Amino acid sequence: MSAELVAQNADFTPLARDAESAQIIERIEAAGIVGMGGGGYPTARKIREAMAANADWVIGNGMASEPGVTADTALLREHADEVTAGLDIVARCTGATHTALAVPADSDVPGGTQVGLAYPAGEEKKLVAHLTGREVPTDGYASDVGVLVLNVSTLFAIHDAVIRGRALRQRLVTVAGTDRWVGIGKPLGDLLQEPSAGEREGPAPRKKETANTGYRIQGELTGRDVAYDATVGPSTFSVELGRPDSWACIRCGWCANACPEGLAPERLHRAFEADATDTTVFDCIECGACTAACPSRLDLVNEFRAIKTRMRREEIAMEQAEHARQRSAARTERLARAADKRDRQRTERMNKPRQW
Amino acid sequence: MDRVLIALVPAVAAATWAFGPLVLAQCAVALIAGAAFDVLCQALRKRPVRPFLDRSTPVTCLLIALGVPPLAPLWIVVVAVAIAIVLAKELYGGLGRNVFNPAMAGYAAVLVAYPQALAYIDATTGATALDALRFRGGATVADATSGPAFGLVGGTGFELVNVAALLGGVYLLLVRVVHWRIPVAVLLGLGLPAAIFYDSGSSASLGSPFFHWFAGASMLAAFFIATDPVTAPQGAGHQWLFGLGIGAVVFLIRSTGSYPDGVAFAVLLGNLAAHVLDRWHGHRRP
Repeated sequence: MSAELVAQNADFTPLARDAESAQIIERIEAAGIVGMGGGGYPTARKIREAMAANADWVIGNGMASEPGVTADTALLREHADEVTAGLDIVARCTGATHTALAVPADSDVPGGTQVGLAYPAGEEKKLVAHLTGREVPTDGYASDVGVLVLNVSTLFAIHDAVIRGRALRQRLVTVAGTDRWVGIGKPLGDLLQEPSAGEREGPAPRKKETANTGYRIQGELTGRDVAYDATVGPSTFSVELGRPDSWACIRCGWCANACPEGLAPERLHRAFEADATDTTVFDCIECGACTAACPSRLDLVNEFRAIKTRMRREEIAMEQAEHARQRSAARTERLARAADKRDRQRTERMNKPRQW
Repeated sequence: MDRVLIALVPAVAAATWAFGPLVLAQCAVALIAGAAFDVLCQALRKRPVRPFLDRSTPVTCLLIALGVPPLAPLWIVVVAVAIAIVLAKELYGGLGRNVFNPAMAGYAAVLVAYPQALAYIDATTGATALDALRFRGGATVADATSGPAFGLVGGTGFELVNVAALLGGVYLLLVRVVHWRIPVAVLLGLGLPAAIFYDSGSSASLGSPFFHWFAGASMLAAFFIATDPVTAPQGAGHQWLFGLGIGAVVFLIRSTGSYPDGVAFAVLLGNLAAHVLDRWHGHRRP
């Protein structure tokens, strides 16, 4: 895209690379940028929190988000300069003294730090520990140890917003194995029907497809397969057809061997099938290693996302029910008090001697 | 599972060569019955009917066919397959949810219900090596093993099947369908007590480790039956315990029990223990 066209398409006045922090953060907020590596957390808020925690490290995360998802790698291959510039903008903005652009060991991105760890090295806590030597507490965030981690797509979007004055309207998505720029809000059905979607396996898309034949959307906590008319969001880094066929779990244990967190995905799979709750699911970092390892082609990681979503919903529903119960009890008491008062007043009135 | 079927081919071939073409008939009947019961169960459970979809059914059928005596009546095979597929597998919720190894459950059921039909009486050899060794009176091992039931190390025919099963098992190890831990544990569990009680072949001794390894269904048990992931524990230490226990119980039943071979009961006991063992370590692997 030529410079003139970029200027025409701009939503904001381009800012200088070293503009004031407040201005940059405001711009990031106005451009609608959120964590594009799957988190979806508002980036402006994340930067403010990091600054409040006096973060001295900014890390650009270019490690694979999930097995088979190549969007980040493709972005670095074609737009490493913009990503590096985005990292520089954030570093200046936060006043961080250390920066690193984490890239896989087999890619030679200029200015990138090759991380030779096995997958899932891109998991935030593991990456922070590797690059900075700081350990993020179990229930904490990277900002707790003074580190700000941003996905490379987010950094690219920050550069776009600050230097080119463009809001976040599209992102690089791995669509059925190929990396494409996709406008945010595009229905998945349209996306996969387009001829450039590459080789598709499984049946032709139909409306209201259900589990195992529907679409899989990764990057958000959407649970399992999603409907035909779901759309690509800012954090959607991969869209693929649901696995056409999966078999029963035979407890082979390959998932447990693959799990970097030492979980037993097979048991969580049972919990998913039984609609049961299992608190160990919250130790799952959603790296997808189990899904890649499963010989029965079960979509384990998305099942665990579904359990998490369901358990969170149940917790909220319980809180709401408790709140409603308390309100109802209070109302009953209030009504009883009012009736009591009415009775008392009437008795008083009736017992009062007449004045005439 | 396809590769497990490939790995079973040598054992089926060896059994056919050793015991005659009736073995092939038993295999064929078992496979047809297995497919039929599979389809029946899928239909009753209102699942898509696709015979042999998961390939575990043919493995179960072939193990049963290899397990029953070569001259056993064919209806025995059908009954064993029915119990294996319908009772031991589908009623527990289908593949992946069965507590017991289906083949061994089916085999053990007919073993208990129809002992006469399953007695290893062979027209040519009279009795199997395991029986000959157990009911040999006061003879020494050397005397007993000079009988027609004995081959080079194990029983006639059976040693060939065991060598073939070992070949298939090595193939399974090489293609990494099976981990070496459980087979090695089973063979150790069987071989160690055999070595301890084998006092170089006196009248009281119970057969050498080599005899036990290549007699009965030892190799099939070690590589094809005990390694079924559905009914085995998952932790490494638990797999050692599981395998050693199965081997030891096989030895115990062979030396003191009255059944022709102890594999089926040993595996079923192991299956029970497997789920207890897995319960021990909560939701994390050990």
